[in-house]
Amino acid sequence: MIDVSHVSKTYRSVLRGRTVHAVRDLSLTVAAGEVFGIAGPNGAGKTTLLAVLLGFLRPDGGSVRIAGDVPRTFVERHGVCYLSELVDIPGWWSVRGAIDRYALLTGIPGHARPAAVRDAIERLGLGEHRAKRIKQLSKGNRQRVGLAQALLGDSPVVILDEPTHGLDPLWTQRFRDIVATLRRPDRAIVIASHNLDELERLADRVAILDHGALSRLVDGGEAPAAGALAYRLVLEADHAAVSASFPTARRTASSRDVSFDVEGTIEELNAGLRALLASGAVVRAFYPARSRLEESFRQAVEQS
Amino acid sequence: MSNALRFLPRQLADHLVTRGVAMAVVGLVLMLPLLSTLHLGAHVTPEQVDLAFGQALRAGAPLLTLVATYGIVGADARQGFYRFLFSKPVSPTAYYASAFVVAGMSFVVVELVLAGVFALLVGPTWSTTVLLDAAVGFVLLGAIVFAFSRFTRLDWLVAILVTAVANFARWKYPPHDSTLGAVLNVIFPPTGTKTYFPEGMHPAWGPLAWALGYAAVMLAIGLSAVRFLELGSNR
Repeated sequence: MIDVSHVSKTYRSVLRGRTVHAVRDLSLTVAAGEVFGIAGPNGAGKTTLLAVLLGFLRPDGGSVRIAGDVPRTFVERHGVCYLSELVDIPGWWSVRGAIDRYALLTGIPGHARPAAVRDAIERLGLGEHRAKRIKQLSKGNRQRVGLAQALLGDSPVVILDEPTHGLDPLWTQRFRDIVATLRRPDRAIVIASHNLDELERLADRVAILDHGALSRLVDGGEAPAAGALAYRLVLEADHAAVSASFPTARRTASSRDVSFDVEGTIEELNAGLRALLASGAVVRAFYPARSRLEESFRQAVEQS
Repeated sequence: MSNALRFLPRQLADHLVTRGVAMAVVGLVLMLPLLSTLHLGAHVTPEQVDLAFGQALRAGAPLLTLVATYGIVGADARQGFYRFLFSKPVSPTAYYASAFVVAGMSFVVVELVLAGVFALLVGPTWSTTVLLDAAVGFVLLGAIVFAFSRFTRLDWLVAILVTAVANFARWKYPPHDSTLGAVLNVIFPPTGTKTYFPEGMHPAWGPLAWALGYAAVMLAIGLSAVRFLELGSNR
């Protein structure tokens, strides 16, 4: 569905004499039916890449095709369900007026528009705010308006840039449910986020960008990489057998419980755990210290 | 019908709310000295009413045009509104072409409001050629503003400078005196024309065609910039 081939984008400031390579020789594909995550530290090129996908920016090199079209042509024909990182909507528009205007631009016919607007407002819990002006809304509510307008229409491409930015935990959870309903076989969904936990839950694959280049592509279905794994061990009470069972164990700074960071291969960790339980220690929890995506992210950024 | 065209009534409503009111206030303030003078006078003939209204509108129309047309493209880019607008199935070129038309419609509405206020306080004016002259003036100056809108947030200031330089160039190098004067006369907008309708509804075709042709070129430059340059930047 989306084919990015050797794309580069450079910003040049003539006055400051500065050049920033925002995206460098980036290639990736997003298939229909896939939820594709984009992660990376600040300035990694995530938002620039999305702007290129939407045809707002033109790549200096390489090419982008969406369903065979250049981005601008695709967007002007089909539209894209898009939420930008910054929700910029004229402040004097009311919530209802804004959604109605975007519904009109989406091409929703007049007879269906009132229902579509009502649905979008209710789906994002904006009913009590419908008459308020955009400038009167909190950051979280503004983000919900942005999401509501993104969900209008029926585009085969969804692009969400930091979608849970500013949302409270309840709406973050609801957002995940909404993305689940957006998923369908003929639609490609791209989500750029700093929130690795969110990407790990939602995305089938995650591209980790750093300094504008594709540093790593993490597949959700991949088996854990061989080698040392970092786990957290939480005990009911301190126990002398910990250091014997896990030679690499380090006590964490947590004051709430007795916990240790341990490392080892999957076999070493299992052996250590067996030894610890046999010595009479009561284990409350044993879980990865970092998620696999976090681990990949850390490695990718450290490498570069 | 394209989505941009379908959106035009909303654009007009937004323009009237955000700029139309300001334009009407500016127009009234500009007319105020004239209104008070005429209102206090004992007797005003219809010819004097037409003349006074014409003078007031000619003096105020350029300012109203600038208020109506500044930042049509640039403001959306600067404030980031383009992101949601042009993620929809909408052609930016069609959208901004209709935005210019909307500014013109808003200008006409404000002109009519001012004519109404003038009629109420002084007397009815039937000088339609004054309104038409102002409309042509709007198209010419507004198109110059529009041509620069993608390039700078100070499009209105650039239009003023272009007009000032055009006047200076024609004074310094009269078109019929030298080749340079003739070239400059073609490059710069036709700012010297006082009226495009000197004899009632019969236009002076030459100046009218020159003004509208120049405006068409300026609009084409503005729309080409929208079509072929990037819509916005992240930096």
